Amino acid sequence: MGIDISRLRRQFGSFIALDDISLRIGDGEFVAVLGPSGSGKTSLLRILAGLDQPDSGSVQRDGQDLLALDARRRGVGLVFQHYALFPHLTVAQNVAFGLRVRPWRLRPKAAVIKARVDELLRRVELDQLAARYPAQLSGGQRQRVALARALAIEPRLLLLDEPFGALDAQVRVNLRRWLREFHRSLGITSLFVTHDQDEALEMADRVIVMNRGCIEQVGTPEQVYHRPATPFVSKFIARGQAVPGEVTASSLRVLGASWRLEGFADETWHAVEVHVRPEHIVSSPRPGEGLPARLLGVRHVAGTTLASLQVDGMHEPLEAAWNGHDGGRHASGERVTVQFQALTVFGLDREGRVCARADCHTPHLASPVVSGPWRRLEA
Amino acid sequence: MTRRVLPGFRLSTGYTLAVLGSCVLLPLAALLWTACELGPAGWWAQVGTRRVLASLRLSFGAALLAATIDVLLGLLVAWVLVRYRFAFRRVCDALVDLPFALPTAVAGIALTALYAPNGWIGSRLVPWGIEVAYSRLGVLLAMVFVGLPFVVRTLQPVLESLDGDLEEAAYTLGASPIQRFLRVLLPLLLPALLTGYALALARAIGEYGSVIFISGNRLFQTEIAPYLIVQKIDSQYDYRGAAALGAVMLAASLLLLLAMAAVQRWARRWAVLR
Repeated sequence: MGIDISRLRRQFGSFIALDDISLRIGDGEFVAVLGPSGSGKTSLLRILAGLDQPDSGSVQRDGQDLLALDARRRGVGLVFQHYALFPHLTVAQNVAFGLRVRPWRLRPKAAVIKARVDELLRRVELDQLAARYPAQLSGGQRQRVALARALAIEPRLLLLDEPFGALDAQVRVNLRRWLREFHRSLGITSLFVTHDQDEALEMADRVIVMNRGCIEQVGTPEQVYHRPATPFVSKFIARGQAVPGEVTASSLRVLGASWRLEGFADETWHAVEVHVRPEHIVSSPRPGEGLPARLLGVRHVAGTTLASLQVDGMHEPLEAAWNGHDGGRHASGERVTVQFQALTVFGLDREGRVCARADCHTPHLASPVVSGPWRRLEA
Repeated sequence: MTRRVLPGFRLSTGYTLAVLGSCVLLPLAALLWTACELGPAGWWAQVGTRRVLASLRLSFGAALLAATIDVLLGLLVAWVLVRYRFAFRRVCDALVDLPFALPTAVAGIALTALYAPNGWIGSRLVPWGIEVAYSRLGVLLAMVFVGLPFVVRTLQPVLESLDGDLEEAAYTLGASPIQRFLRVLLPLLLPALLTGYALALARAIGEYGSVIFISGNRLFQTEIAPYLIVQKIDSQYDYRGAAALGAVMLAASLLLLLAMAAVQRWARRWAVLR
């Protein structure tokens, strides 16, 4: 059951949009395809909708070859990024379009079409605006008309291309929540494309992270966020920042500190990449202990302080995220000492592919850190 | 007072009205004034003759038909120029303007030379019993020729700006190619098609130079109204008679354009200005 995508390739000239993509989407799943622009996510969507054909590979739905079906007969609902509503038709006529263009033998009676359109418009909360033209609607309303129009043909797969890309921030957040609930009530297998990490992580059952035509990671939002599989996912989703590090035997040395390394295959890798997240860079509880750094700039964003740090011995500045209480007392230009609370290590083979990864928590320093609730609980 | 983007609203409005008044309204008023000097009976004596009525019928009938043909041909030409990439596309694109730029007499002579019974195309059509030159068909041909650029040039920018997503949306919703054209593209192109129709129609009604060469100006058969106006002045110095006929053409043209504007409004009812 579900949709089976196997070894899909699509090339435009010398640009490889999709490079050997294989993927399974379960029945009723709500899946996000997340990636930067040019990562191939829209190409994948267009191939699934039937608006483009892959150079090779197959797509099957319940054992049926989807690529052999013309887009007209695929039963795939597509919601365009800019809605693509028919400007010369009213809201109700837009929604009815997919039913009215059916061959007359399959076309429902006018009364049936009207009832179905009314019901859909009620569900997307637009029944009051049925007689309006798209030019008379707000962005969020147009988005919902586009959704109702795609659902009118009772699709077995719903595709959404950057569904919130053209909306302002407030509408976007509300509509996200609404669409999540709406999907739950429908249960249609859905796939949406986005470049917005928050959107993907908040809404999807499963997230597919794409980069340069390849799938970097497939997993639940928690998996993708907490255990990024590749340096790209770490950078893109968790804002991981590279720090210089060396792996020797079973320990990792980063800027003078030593970390215990577990589960890291020491033979296969050729190079390592070490990442630290903004929220894992904290100011040292005891001054003078940790990494000396200079504050380049401090920005306050919604209760969080984003500090740009120049750590001694590093070329690139690091970004740290502190909660308001912590960060409030610092000013730019000041010298501070910071600590890393956790690191992610990726072992890369000669082709640059990830062959080992490990997460490290709390460095074992020369003198162990005697802080944290667990100590008090033991005592 | 609200601030406007451009200063000098009164000055510019006054200037616009002055230009419009002196270049458009004043000559038309003079025309009507001259025509009115005849009085109703005199007016009917000028216009009600069999010869004049036949010419009016030909002028407006052929112009309406020619504008319709222009819309169909122009849609095809604009479609090909916008949607396809082929060798010499730019050259073809430039050629569209030629009937527009050519002195109409030159166009008339060229068409006559081609379609006359001894011409290159005309001689091949005669065995089929088709006479183009010196017939009503010739009048129609000349009118189609001069009106075509108007349709192509009004359609082209609209076709180019048409969102490809709309066709794809219709496609994924199950519309066949014909349905995509009739239900999505055509309604969106309709305002531009109507504008092109109105322009081609206006040009065809007013066309003189190219038509008089190819029509042969046969009595009751291929005389167009503008030809009769020139005849009245040329041979009889009958300015009032010419003005009477001119006033009829003015009124009919005005009515046609107003009707077109009304249809235009209907076709654009969905484009709401907010």
